[in-house]
Amino acid sequence: MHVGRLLAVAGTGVAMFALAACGGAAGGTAEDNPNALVVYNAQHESMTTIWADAFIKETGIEVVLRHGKDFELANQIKAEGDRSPADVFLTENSPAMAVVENAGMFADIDSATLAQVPKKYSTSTGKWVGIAARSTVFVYNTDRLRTEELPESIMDLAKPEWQGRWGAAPGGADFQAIVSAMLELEGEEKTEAWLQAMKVNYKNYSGNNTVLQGVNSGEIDGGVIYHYYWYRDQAKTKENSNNAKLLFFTGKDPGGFLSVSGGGVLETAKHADEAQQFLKFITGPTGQQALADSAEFEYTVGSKVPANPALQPLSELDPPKVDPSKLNGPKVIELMSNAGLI
Amino acid sequence: MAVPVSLLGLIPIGYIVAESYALGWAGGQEALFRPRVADLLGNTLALVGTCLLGCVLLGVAAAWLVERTDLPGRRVWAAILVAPLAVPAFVNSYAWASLWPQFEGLPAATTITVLSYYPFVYLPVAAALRGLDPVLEETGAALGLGPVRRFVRVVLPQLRVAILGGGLLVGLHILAEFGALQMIGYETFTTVILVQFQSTFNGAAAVMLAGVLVACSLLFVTLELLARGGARYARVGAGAARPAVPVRLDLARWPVVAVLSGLLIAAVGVPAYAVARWWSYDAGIDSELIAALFSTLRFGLIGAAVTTLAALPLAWLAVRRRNLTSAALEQCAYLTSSLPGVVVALALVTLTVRWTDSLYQTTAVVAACYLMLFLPRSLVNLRAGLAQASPDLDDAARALGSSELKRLVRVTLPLIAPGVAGGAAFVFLAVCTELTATLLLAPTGTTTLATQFWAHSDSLDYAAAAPYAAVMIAISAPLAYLMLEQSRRLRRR
Amino acid sequence: MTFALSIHGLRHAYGAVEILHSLDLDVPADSTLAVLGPSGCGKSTLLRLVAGFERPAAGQVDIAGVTVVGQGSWVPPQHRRIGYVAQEGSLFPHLSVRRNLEFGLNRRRRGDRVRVSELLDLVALDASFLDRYPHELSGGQQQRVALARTLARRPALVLLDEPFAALDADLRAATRAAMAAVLRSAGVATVLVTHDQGEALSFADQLAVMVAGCFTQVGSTRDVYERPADLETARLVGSALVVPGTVLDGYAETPLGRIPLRVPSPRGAAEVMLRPEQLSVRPAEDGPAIVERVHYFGHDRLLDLVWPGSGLRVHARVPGHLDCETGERVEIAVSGAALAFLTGAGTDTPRDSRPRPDLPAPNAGASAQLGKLLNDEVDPRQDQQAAAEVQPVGRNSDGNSLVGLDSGY
Repeated sequence: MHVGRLLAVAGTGVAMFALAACGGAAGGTAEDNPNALVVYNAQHESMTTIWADAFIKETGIEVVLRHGKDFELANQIKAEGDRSPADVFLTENSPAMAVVENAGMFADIDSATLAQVPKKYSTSTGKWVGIAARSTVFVYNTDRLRTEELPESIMDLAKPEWQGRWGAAPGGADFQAIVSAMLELEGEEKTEAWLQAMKVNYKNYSGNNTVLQGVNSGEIDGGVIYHYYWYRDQAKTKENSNNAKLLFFTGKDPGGFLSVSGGGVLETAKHADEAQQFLKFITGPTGQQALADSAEFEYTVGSKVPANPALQPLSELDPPKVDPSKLNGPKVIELMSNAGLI
Repeated sequence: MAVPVSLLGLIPIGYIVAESYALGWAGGQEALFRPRVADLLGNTLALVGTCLLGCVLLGVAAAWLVERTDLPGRRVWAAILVAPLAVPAFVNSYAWASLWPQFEGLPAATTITVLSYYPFVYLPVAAALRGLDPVLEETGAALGLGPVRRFVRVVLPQLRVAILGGGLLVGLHILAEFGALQMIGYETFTTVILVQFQSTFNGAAAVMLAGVLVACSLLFVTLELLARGGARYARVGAGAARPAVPVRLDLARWPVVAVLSGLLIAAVGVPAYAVARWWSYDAGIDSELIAALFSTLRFGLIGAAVTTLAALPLAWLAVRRRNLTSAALEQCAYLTSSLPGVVVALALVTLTVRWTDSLYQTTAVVAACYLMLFLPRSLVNLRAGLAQASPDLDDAARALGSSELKRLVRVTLPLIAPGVAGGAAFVFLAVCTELTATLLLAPTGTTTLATQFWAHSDSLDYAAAAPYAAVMIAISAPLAYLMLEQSRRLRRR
Repeated sequence: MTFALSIHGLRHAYGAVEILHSLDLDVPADSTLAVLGPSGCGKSTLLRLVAGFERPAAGQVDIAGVTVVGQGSWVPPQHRRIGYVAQEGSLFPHLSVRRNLEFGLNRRRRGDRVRVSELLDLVALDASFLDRYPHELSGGQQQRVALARTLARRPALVLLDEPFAALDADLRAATRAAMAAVLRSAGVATVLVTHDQGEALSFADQLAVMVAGCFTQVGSTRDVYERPADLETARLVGSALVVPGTVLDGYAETPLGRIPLRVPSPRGAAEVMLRPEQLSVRPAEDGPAIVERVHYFGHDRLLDLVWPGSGLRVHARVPGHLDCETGERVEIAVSGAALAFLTGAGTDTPRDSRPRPDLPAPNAGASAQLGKLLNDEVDPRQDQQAAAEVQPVGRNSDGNSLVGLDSGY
């Protein structure tokens, strides 16, 4: 009986090992695939996977993705230094790109690639290029807020009458990017005051999705997120957005901040050529069209490809003018920590 | 060989100390003495308090009902009351959050954690009750104590060790819990450490928070040791214990059954329903799931193998050569495992990034992390197994002329096999449902069931997360059953 | 006179198996009763039913005049005025001796140090024991503390469940004597359950012999020892030497000679029972018996004697200084009277279902099994088996066996 049991256990173990080994071999990890392009990806996983798959199809070059959040990956690249295995870094927002750029770790982007994207969507130094964009919005519950009651500026949300009525996800890089724009546009003093007022007024959520959900259910009157969350939900089940509408701040208000997702090639990239190719692909017509056709609903920026028709056209928006490479991520985190938001 | 393994465990603590030192007193003060940290401390301790209370009440009550009353269907209850072990806490949280998003804050956190962790108290208390000699309770009755006072003054003191041990496990789990609490927005140290990690990688704040977390863990361990005290709890005497006369529930019988059923519906039924419902939206078993499954199994096997191999010399020392050194080494192992996974992972990341570059982002580091976190689970089982393979048997075999190798294969191995298998199984289970450390350490491109589940549910894509939850439960269920069997077997001795 | 304990028609069963068959018993206040019986006879069950740890199938139990079981009522143990000392391990291990003793006192008197040390004095233990923990005490000391704790509540009835069985042999006698003295001076009715014959006889003044869930005899210890109701009871309360014989008027003719009978018996073939101490052995050249083997114990010797003609075998104990070698012829003298039990007089009913009255007549018949043994061929294994069955009961407190089991032809 004893031996029988032992054999059974051993047998199962061997079988599982075999399975796992096969699975492992089939999988695409950086460990198994030394020739693959290593992309540190802070952009939405679904979007980058679409780009990577299309790229592999077109060029046959293997791509391996490491997923994470904006600052997590940016700081990781910094900490890794010369030994970083990353070839390409893609973000959701610009401040993270600035962190790596200021550490001097980006290589120059091919001029051909840079030419595909309007200048305002890339850094002036040519160290990284814009790959997509998203607009800050104030999403509000249509039952609870009439049009007259809507705030005129994002700065209004600091006022006492907004106490307990709006929400955001300060732990995420998205909101931190919005604050960095405010810092750049309004200065440190005003931003600090706004953050402190926010601590009193706002309701904390773990992510933009939950903010949208909270607005929709009436838990809060409104929230500060990016536009595409609403559109994505509308395209799926609508259950988190059927009571909500978007307000795009106009008049170059900080609340109308258009955040640019960036892509850069690491100076220490082991596959520099392939990296440049990848960025050219993403900002080229195929890549941008893939973005427009996808269910991601972010704005296209390159090769004059129009965005998804469902979206309010970029030309109709009135965002403030911000130099993406001037956005100071670490300072924002410091201010937010001091205000007790993270 | 046992020495390096245990010393490995001291790395995370060393890391915290070193980083704090580098930060300096002023920097550390600034990072630490903020109202935010006070908030988090309050949150964390409040949750530990309420959850402990809930788990102890629930665990002891359930154990008493199953072991000491004439509850109908006791054998069945004994098995299914342990079922929540098969549902990882973050899946539980996912169920509640997806079905009732308004349920949040301390009540939600308490409910979810109590439902997930009460088996940690239930199992040892039930085992202890089974082994109790009713002579003390009968004597208590003869001395004039009514049933309630008997329970409080006679039975509870004998359950103290079991309750304390279970309570410690619960406390440590809460300190380390991330996914379950993040999903309902309840902020504790661990959730914030991860958010900080995402913002600053391994910046000052993350380290300081980790330090506080470690301090709390060590505090809990110390408190438990002190509370256990030196007083004796074992029966004084060698005779066999007579089985206790079951208490009659009479009128209370069906209400009790209803309450227990309600408990199980909340603890297991809700997650099952949620998973089933969300999965019905998607119904896809795609290649992503298969890849994650294989990775998870691979990690599980590697983790189990490495941990078991590392535990063998330690267990050997602990059982066959008990001395101060072996005891100290053992304590090191237990110490590290009481640290939250995120801290251990953080330490390893920093270490590998700075010093051992070739190991960075490799499976080896992941395995090392699992080793540090789960060594005790393997150790406990191995020790029990080794203790049964007494040296007398070995000597007898030698006297009969067997060579060293033969003895090992034919005498020792079969005897310790159950212990080895049991320990390996527990580690496997733990690795398959591990989230936090894997999030930080997994090699680029590797996903596990837990990390994929997390990625989807974090973006509120409940439907996509459902299949992962289902597979994790499917893997955990047989192993939870194993835990039950192990507990039954250990007590019967 | 109110009895401390009164039992009427007590019955108990586990499932389909009857354990106790309609027992009746009265224990006067200020007396000590020992319930003596082999393992498994149901004596512990009886005690547990009296204590209230289990509910009987039927019957009535009164303690100090209060009906605690029966007539539709059942009083839980904590409300019966009883004291209970288990075989071992009844001291709460997590409490000191002082706290254990205080357990028996009510709240007001909990802190009463005088009372507590009084209790300790009662069982002849030093005050230094107060702060020790149970695991630091010897078995005998623990039992004494347990008794003191129990007496603190001034119970009407003290129940002792084989309290000396788990003690080392050397402690047993001392502890037993100490506890007997305490109970006597406290004047509390006590019921002791034991399988040890010597213990029962020395501890108690009343004896109830129990076999297979029935009382075979209840009476004073002296009565039961000298006038056992049947052979089985006789063997249970002491070592018995049984020889076949014929009963005539007032005496029996046996291979050991003519022996007067203590209790009159009808004429006929019978088993004649003697106590081993009634035999004296003397070496004699023309003696009827030969010494087959000598077991030397130092202070005495056990002789295996055989009557060559009839094949009768008898064991006899003699003082150690008596010089007797194997092969020697010896002469036996019997002092005192014997008891005769008619052979084959009882019906061959299986033991369990036979209803027994309280005080069966002395010649109710030998037990069927033993009768069979005597009439069958001698089979050494059967001999040993029977010996093994009876032996544990017939052992005296020194642990030496004094079974005078004879053989059949």
